[in-house]
Amino acid sequence: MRHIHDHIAKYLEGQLDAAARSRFEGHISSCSECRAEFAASREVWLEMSDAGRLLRRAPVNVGRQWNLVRRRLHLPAQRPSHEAPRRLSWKMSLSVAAAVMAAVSSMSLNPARADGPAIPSIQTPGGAAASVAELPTQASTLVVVEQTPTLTLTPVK
Amino acid sequence: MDDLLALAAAGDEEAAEGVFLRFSPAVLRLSIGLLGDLEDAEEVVQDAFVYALRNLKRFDPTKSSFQTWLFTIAISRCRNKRRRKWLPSISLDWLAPQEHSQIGSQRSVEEWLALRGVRRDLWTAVWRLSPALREALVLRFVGGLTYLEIGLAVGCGDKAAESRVRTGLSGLRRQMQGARQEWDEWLAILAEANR
Repeated sequence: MRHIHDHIAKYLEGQLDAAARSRFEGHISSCSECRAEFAASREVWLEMSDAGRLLRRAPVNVGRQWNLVRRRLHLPAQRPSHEAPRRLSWKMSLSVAAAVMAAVSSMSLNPARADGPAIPSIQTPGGAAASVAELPTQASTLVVVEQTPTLTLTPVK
Repeated sequence: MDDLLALAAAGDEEAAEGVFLRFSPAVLRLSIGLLGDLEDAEEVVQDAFVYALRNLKRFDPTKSSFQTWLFTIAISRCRNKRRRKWLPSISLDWLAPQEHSQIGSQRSVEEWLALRGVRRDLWTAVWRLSPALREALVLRFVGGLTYLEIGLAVGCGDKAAESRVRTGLSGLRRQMQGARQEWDEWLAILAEANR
C-alpha cells in the first residue's frame, strides 16, 4: 500500500471496505514508518473529533439574537390579534397633545373665530400630515394609525 | 419543516422565529469554530439570518439541505469578517471550571475546550491553517457535514472537500508534532544547562 496517507482518513472514518481495511491494517503492522504516521494522524483525528463533538453540543443562548434579527427585519413588536386596539406611538401622542394645546390656546385668545367646531390639524414630528402610510415606523414600538385622529372642540364662550 | 419554511417565506413571523430558533445554534457554533470570537460569531448569525429570512424564496431544497444553505451564507459572512480583521482576535479569559458554562466572550475557544480535556494547542493549530483548510475541518468536525455538503457550502467538489480535510489534518499533525519537538528540545537544553 504505497499511499497510506490517502487511506488514513478513510480508515479512521470507517470508509474502507473490508478488503481495503484488511490491506491497510496489514501494511501498518509491517511498516514502522507508516505505523508511526498512522498513530500521529489518529491522535489528531481523535482530538478533532472530541473538539468538534464538544463544540456541537456547547450550550449557546440565541434568544437575544432573535430580537436583534427581528429589529433588523423591521418586524413589529409581537402583539396577539385579540388584544386591545392599536395605539398611537408616544411621539404621535405628543404631537396630538401639542396640537390640541395649540388649538385650545388659539380658541381662547380669539373668541371671534370660535363660531363653529374647530378641527385641529394633526402634525407628525416631521411636519407631514398623519396617515397610515406616512407615519415613521419603529421596530420596537407599534405605530399604526387606523385613521387620522380628529377632534371636535366646543368653542369657548 | 417544509411547512415552517413556506410559512416563513410567506412572511409569518412566528414561523420565521421558529426557523431561527431551530437553526441558529448550529450556525453560531460553526461561526465560533471559524472565528474564535463569540461577538463576531453572533454578528455573523444575525447577518446570515437577516439575509436568509429575506431571501427564503432563493433556497432550493433540490440542491442542498436548509442547514447547508445557511452554513453557506454564514461562511460567506465569516470570510468578510476575517477580511476586515487581519489580526485574529484573542480574548482574555477569566476561567471558572463550570461544567455546563456557555462559550462566552470572556472565554476563548481554546480555553473552553482545554477545560474539557482537549489539547490546548489543537485549536490554535486549526486557526493557523489556511482559511480553506480551516473551513473544511470546522464544517466536517463541528458542522458534522458530509464531504458532498462541505463542497456545496464552500464551492468545491466532494473530492476536493475530502482532500482539504485530509490536508488540514496533516497540517494539524505537523504543527502539533513540531510544537512537541520544540518543547522536547527546550527541555533537553534546560537539562544540559543544569548538569
